[in-house]
Amino acid sequence: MKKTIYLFLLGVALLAGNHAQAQYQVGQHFISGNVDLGANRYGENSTIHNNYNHSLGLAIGKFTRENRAVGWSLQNSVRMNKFENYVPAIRKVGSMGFGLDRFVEFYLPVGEKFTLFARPSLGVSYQLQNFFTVANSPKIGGNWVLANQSQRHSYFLSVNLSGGVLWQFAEKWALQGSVAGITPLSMMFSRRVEEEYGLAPNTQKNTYTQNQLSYTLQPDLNTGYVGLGFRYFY
Amino acid sequence: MIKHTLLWGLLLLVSTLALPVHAQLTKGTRYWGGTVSSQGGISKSKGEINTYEGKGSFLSIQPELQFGRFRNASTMLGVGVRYSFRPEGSEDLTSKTQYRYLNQSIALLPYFRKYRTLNDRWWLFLHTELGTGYRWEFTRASGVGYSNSREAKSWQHELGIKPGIVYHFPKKGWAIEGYANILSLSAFYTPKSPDQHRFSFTTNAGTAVPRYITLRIARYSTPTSN
Repeated sequence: MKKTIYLFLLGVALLAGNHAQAQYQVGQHFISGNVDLGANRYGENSTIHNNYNHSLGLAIGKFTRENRAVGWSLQNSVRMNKFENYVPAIRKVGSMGFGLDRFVEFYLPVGEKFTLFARPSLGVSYQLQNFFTVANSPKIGGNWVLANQSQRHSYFLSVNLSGGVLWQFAEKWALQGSVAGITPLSMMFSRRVEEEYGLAPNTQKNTYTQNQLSYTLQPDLNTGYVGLGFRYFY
Repeated sequence: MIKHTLLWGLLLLVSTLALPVHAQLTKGTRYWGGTVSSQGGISKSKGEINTYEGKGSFLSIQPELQFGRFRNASTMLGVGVRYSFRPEGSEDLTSKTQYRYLNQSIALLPYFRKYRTLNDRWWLFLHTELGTGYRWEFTRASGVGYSNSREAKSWQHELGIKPGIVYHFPKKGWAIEGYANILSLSAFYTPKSPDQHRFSFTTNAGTAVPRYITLRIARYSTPTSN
């Protein structure tokens, strides 16, 4: 519901025309960040699952024109899991990622406090993912048995474009909301190592490695996220 | 909160609609639009202990092109062609077996569009298409001393109604557009054999916009003279 309204607003605000003046000065800097934290504990009978996740983003930028800024942004995300009663033990890191982007932001002021922005960027990122499959076999000594576990390292190079709204609620502070984004082109290299266990634990494991190189050309606009963050101007 | 944003939006919308509209769409305006999406990859695999070596590849290219002509300032008639090419292959170097797969489909979709211009740059339209597609699928598995292949062909009939939005660059005539999918309707009919049919009907209405909107590039040109 909200997404639609934001999209609608974005469209409507663009319709409203270019009557407002620029708000920023050449040479001014900004720093912006977003934080997302989560934790969960889940128990069923004697089995307890714990998980934790975070995602952080930090960006610094400099205004090169009244309605344009360039900058860098860094992202990090981690998801940790703790599963008890599995053999062999499940890896604690579910996923972990790092990303670095070079971006340009274009601004269109709408009224005094609101500014629309479009943000093309070029980014590199790395992601680690761990997967597991539980074997379709009875428990051994009260523990579930894993059929396999695999680990994937992926490296991405991508072209992105996102857009959203800045709400300047104080002189030096703004709330930013990214509403829609598109990654028209991306390339990936990944390496996956899978360990296949025998039906009973402690048998010799079979290792299987896969290297993959792929590309995606996808003119799809992703309207499904609203990323919120704060921005400070100095 | 939502009510406020809605009100604000409506207010802006009304104020925009109240502006004089310089519609550029006239009878005879020509249109073409298109989009393409593609994916591809290669992979190499290796197994230790259970010795294994293999490689694989996949590709998918899906272009869509549309042509049309305006009958009057708000109605366009046209035809669209949608094509899809998806080959896939893998090879097990240890047991010397190969697998090949190819999926192709083509659809011819005559359509009409009803336009509503909001201003020079933003237009809305309702796109209705009705057409037929043909799908061809080929699979071959081969190894030492054997080779099995299988072919499957099918027809599919399709009806789609979807609203869209256009952002138009007035000076150049170029535009970026996408189906907004706020309300859509599509029906597929697949006759597999004389006694076997499949029919699927999908509607999507409401404000839960699907996560992805495929963008297309379009051009609206008015012939200067004839």
